[in-house]
Amino acid sequence: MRSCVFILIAVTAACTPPSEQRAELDRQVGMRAGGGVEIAVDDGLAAVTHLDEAGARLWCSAPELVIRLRSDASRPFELELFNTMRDARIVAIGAAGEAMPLEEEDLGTATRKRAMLDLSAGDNVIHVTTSDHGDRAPWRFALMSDVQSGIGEVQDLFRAMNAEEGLRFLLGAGDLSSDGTREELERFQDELLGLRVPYYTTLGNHDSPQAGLWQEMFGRGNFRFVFRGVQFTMLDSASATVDPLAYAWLDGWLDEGLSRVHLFAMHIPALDPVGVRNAAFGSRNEAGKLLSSLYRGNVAMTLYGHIHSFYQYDNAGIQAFISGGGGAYEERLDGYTRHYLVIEVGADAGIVNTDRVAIE
Amino acid sequence: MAAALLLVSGTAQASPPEQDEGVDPDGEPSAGLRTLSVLTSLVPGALLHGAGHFTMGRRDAAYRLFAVQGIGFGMLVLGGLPIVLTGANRYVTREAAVIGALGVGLWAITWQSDVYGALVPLAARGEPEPTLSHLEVEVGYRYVHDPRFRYASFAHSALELRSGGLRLRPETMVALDDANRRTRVLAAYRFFGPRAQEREAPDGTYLELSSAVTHHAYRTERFATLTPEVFVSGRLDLARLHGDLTGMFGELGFGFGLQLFDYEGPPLGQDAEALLLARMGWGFYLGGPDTPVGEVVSYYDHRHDDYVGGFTELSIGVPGHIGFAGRGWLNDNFGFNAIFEAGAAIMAGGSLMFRDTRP
Repeated sequence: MRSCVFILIAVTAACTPPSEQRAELDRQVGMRAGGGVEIAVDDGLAAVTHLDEAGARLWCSAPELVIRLRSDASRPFELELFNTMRDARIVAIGAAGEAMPLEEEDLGTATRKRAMLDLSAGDNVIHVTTSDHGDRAPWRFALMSDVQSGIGEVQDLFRAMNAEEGLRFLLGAGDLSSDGTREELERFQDELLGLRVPYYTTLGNHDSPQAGLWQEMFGRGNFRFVFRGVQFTMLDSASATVDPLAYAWLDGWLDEGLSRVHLFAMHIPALDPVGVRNAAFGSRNEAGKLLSSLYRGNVAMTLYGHIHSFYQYDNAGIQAFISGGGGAYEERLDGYTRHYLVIEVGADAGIVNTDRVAIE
Repeated sequence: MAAALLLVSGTAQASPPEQDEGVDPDGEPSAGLRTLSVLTSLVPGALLHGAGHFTMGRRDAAYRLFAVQGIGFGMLVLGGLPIVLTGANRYVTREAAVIGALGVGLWAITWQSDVYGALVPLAARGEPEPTLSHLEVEVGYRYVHDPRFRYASFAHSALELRSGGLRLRPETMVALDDANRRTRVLAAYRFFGPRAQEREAPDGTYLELSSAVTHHAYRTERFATLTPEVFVSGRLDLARLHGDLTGMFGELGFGFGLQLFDYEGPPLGQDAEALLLARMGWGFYLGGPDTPVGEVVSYYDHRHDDYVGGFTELSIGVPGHIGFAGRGWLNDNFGFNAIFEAGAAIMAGGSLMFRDTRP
């Protein structure tokens, strides 16, 4: 009987589309239990890469987090935040609502921090914010996707970004790796140590072959966050489609973003500006459905990767950019080299400026 | 398309071969040899098309299939190399994709021909309908499984009007459980081949130029598309390639469309997406000698704008979808068809058909 159940589970898993598997795995991101501690990150905005009775390590997917820690006893606890903002501020609230003292230290790099605190028995809440939280003035972020085989030269791009004035973070639209193996994704995370800002990204088709590995190491493929009044929605289109579960989430996120400046990013674009090539959604009608939703959701800009070049166009009247210049095998004869985008945006000003920065 | 296949045969004929050319009903292989031929058509036949025919001693047919396969492979390389070398450059992809797609089509046609030819005795193969009726009506049902949309059940109807080489086909799919409707009007001219109200064609080979306009309203999702297109297609009765390939046919076609999106806000055509159309099919006729009944066809369709769309999940958005369709006539007037397609969605269904065979 037990073998029949295992076979049924295996067959069901084999028949479940990969996009659906990934969406289901997204639900579990940010939640873990072990060693008498339960951790839950609001909206799954961090992957819990390690948890035991003495501490936890999180890979952050957003500039600001709310981390809920339930402990069965008072205990010293070490919280490591990887891929966090340079100026991240950590505030801990104990079970009785009291502010908890904590010691912070940098881990030798701009985007990794450690906080030592004493958890109280019961529910504790950790708030991770930034020094410019709530500032509605324009600010800048960068966009880079499709590194893949260019991983050996990615530091060129990172050096250029480090020299950019005022960049808050790097946004990604997927295809960090060539084959999505653990070794490749770990290599990429190591390379990120050379970047002085965090990298918030969804996944691409090359990152997705091993079910669950992305969620384990980087976090959700479908998520959204708000920073300084601007909303960013990241969707998993690595399968040239979006899972129905993700569409259900998207409806809520679009409602939230109606009154905000709202930017949207995913890997495979809904429509390829070169229609006869169709390096885009497999179904044009699904593309129309998604773009209709984004149009009605008042999205200000759509950002894509997948195509290893640069395209600027409109879809459903929304500004669109394809930026796949992270170093992967390039589209030839297009006049573009490796590049990233720098986008200036403000909660009140909207999209202020978009520049392409070429790396020779 | 039809012209390409005729060219590669090396013995292009304006009319089909004499009956029984290359066919020896008394020379059918034994059951054991036929079984071996079928297996050979699979391995190594999947790579060496014609291996099945070669095994059963029909070597001329085998060489013809292998030659056409070779030309298909060449076209695939000719089309694929520019795409690979330029990283799918925006300026070369269109023409290269057409050539490559047609090459894949030839490849699929020759392999399936080898398998079918090894499996089915010559005497058991069907023949094409030599002439067509001037009026056909279809009414049926389609089921579409696409979890991204609300619809599932559709009423399908089509009317086909023919006069000589001219053909007009309005067609609709109306959702029974959602506010979704697809309406298409096609006009075509058949240069040669089975036509309506004319003398019988020598076989099922034809060449046709068509133009269509499709309107698809997604009222629930609040958008619609309008797609004009032009398409040229052809069918070659494979008996023209060699008599041992009688009862089978290959189809190739390509064209272009322009899909205009209307989001109930931005002006119609805010998004105007070019559409590369390509279709490759292989099939066989049903019915005995002098009593054609119908046909079955398997095909690849590069369209991404219909209910089924292109393959997702393990693809990168470029491939289209596959399908299987069949039609058969129960008598002079009534028949049925069935269809199954798989891509981003799955569609299956069937229709009742009526035709007016009065002169």
